[in-house]
Amino acid sequence: MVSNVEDILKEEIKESGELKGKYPYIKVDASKLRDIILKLLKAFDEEVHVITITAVDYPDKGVLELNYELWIYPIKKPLIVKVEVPRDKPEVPSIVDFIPGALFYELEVHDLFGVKFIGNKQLVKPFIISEDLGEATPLRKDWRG
Amino acid sequence: MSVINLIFGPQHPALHEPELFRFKVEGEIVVKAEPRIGYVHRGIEKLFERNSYIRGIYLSERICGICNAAHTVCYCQVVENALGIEPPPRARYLRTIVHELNRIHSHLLLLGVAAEELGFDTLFMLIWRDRELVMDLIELVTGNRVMTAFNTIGGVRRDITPEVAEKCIKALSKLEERVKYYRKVFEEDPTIRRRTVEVGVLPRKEAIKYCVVGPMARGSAVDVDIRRDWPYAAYDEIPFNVIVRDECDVWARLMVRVDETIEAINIVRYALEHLPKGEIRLPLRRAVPPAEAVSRVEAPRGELIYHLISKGGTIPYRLKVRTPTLANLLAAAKLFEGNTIADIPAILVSIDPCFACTDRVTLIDLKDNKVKRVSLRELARRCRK
Repeated sequence: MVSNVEDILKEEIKESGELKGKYPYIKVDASKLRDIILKLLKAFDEEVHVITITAVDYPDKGVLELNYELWIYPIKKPLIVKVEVPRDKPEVPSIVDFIPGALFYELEVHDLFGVKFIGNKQLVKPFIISEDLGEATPLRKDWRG
Repeated sequence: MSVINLIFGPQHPALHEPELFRFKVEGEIVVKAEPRIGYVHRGIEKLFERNSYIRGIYLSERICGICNAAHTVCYCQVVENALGIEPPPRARYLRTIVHELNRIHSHLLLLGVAAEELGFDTLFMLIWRDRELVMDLIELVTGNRVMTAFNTIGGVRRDITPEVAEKCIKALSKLEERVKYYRKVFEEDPTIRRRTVEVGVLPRKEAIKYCVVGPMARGSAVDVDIRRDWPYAAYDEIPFNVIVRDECDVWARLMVRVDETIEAINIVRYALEHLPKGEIRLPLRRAVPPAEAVSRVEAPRGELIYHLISKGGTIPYRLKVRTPTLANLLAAAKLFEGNTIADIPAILVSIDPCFACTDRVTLIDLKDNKVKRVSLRELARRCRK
């Protein structure tokens, strides 16, 4: 079994580094996201755990950054996959068909940031916010309630 | 046979928190279950973005009353990671002690509720009576029963005296004896076994596919525990066992919690006996430099993660919290399928759901289990009394 994640994903990585707390991260294109998850699942016997998807709004850069926080069971190591999507057209391929456990995290990010996960058939609103908020995306920086 | 919709909640008969489950039933058998969450959404993640790091400590512990220590440990750690500081050894041990006392109280709370849901009310009352032992210890060590505000950025707020440590060890031996007795009850009692064995089975493969965490994962043979796999506080220096069972049913998930309670008692005892000397906190820092940090802890219900983005200054740019129940709920909804209506409470209780933290956002008074909203003025008036 491979122990180094970066060897498997060499071609896709745009940038890599480490967040404080010793959590390694890699930056990739949104279009490559599904390939990466597939490669990881294949390399690690399908034992990849999605901890959560953290979305961050950067209005100054005009992007929403999605952090797919993963834990790889066989090697007991975390990996954060960062993907940037434009704020005005926030679309990213869904990974729920590979890892069904990611469903609630995709729904949460869709609810709070308005990111569309292409391919996720259960993407309904509201998931967690109040119904009277309608199409609001409350965790975006420019939202005023 | 026609399919009937059965609505559980939001004022749920089996739970003390608002949540809605829509069950599609065919006769007695559940064919599909859909949870609807969000009834206690308070927008805490947005609130973090408007409050200082110091206020964040108190905000984070209000995400969940029951596992408040896990939340403050995780919050303080993520800020410490961003600052690049590490609390002194004595503080790390004290954090571990309070974190584990919190786990004991949470697990006993759940085991009591589980007994109640299974229709074994006497056991529920006995477990909750003995849970008072640990509640008293938490009060003795931290100054409060539930909301402790014990952890702070760079350490802890109170120290333990040798007398307090001695009292703790004494009370823990008494509690250990009781928990060992409850272990025997959960292991052997025919009523409990009939209600839980081979009910709500979650095979290991499914557990990984649905990304479950904590005792729910360990009850399905997934060998994972952040305390061991990614140590924090003093867990790298304290010996303890990770409880993993391979029965994958409701019973296994309850047994994992019983055994973890015993492990937690041992951890607290070891930490009290090996408590290093020295400072309990570092000087307070109000501002955090630009940084991105992550911290995870093993909360009583499972993995808890905080992801902080700082752009400098005294207020976080973004703080993401993922609580364990949100991770377990999706799998739980699948567990109902194929089981009977009577098994619904047993399965639900086996995931130890905590919806206030799932929705991240109500304060429950554990003394009487009532939700209370108190105005600041009222709170100040009560404090003066």
